[in-house]
Amino acid sequence: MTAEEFEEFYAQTVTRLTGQLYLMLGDLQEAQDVVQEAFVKAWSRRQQLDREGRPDAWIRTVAWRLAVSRWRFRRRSADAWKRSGAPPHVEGPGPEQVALVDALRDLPDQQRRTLTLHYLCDLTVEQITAETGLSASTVKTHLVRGRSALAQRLQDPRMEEAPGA
Amino acid sequence: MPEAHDPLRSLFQQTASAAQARTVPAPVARIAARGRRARRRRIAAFTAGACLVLAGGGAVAATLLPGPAPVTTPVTRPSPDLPPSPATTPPPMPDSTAVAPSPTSTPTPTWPLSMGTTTSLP
Repeated sequence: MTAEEFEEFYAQTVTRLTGQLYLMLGDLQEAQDVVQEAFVKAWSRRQQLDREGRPDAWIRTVAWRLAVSRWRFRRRSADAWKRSGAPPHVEGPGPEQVALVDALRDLPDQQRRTLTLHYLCDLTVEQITAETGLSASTVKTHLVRGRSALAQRLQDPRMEEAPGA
Repeated sequence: MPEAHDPLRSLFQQTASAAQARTVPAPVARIAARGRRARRRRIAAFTAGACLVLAGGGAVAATLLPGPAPVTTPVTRPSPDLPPSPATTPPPMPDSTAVAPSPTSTPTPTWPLSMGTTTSLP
């Protein structure tokens, strides 16, 4: 991937990946920060990115690992606020969206990640297995339990009825 | 396979779309600049590490490998620290300051001559 191709790839994917990481992490600023860090890492190895085939999956995995690393070491994301400045005034999320993010925050990390990969990124169980390193049975368990937990928290029986995985 | 009319899937997508609308991505020039800086730091760290390994290896090699044999000089005089041994002490040299006996200054007694001249028998 040349520098021009990287710029094009960045312009096409950065907001989409930030939206995905937002649902995995539950914090938009943190999602922006880890996605930016992941793109910085990707810039150095952009020549290997296209060879691996799915550069967006690589960025998503690196961003997720960065977020997990931050949780482990309790790093504050205040520096991300300083770097990016105050966010512009935009329309806030609706009540259903806030409820979904709140409900996702109560789930275990891997369950939240699995649900986002399946319901937002449209990945199959096999693709989730390849990206996360979890076994297929673990992924299926996360999907079933996560969907059930979200249905209870969001009090929407239609979600529990619809087969997710 | 994803289902189009899944309410949970729709909610996920709506939430992600709202987040994307609020996202302010950093300019790609900043990403590239940070990537270049990170690469420079990585190269500098690698170089410093390589120098440390080389220096450490050299120091270990200098410590462990045997050095050149020490030069031994022949002993030219006895060590002053050793105590004098009577067996090895050389004989004393004649003192040059002592006065040697001179035949002119001190007469040598000649016992038989004096006895011979004073013989007188009554």
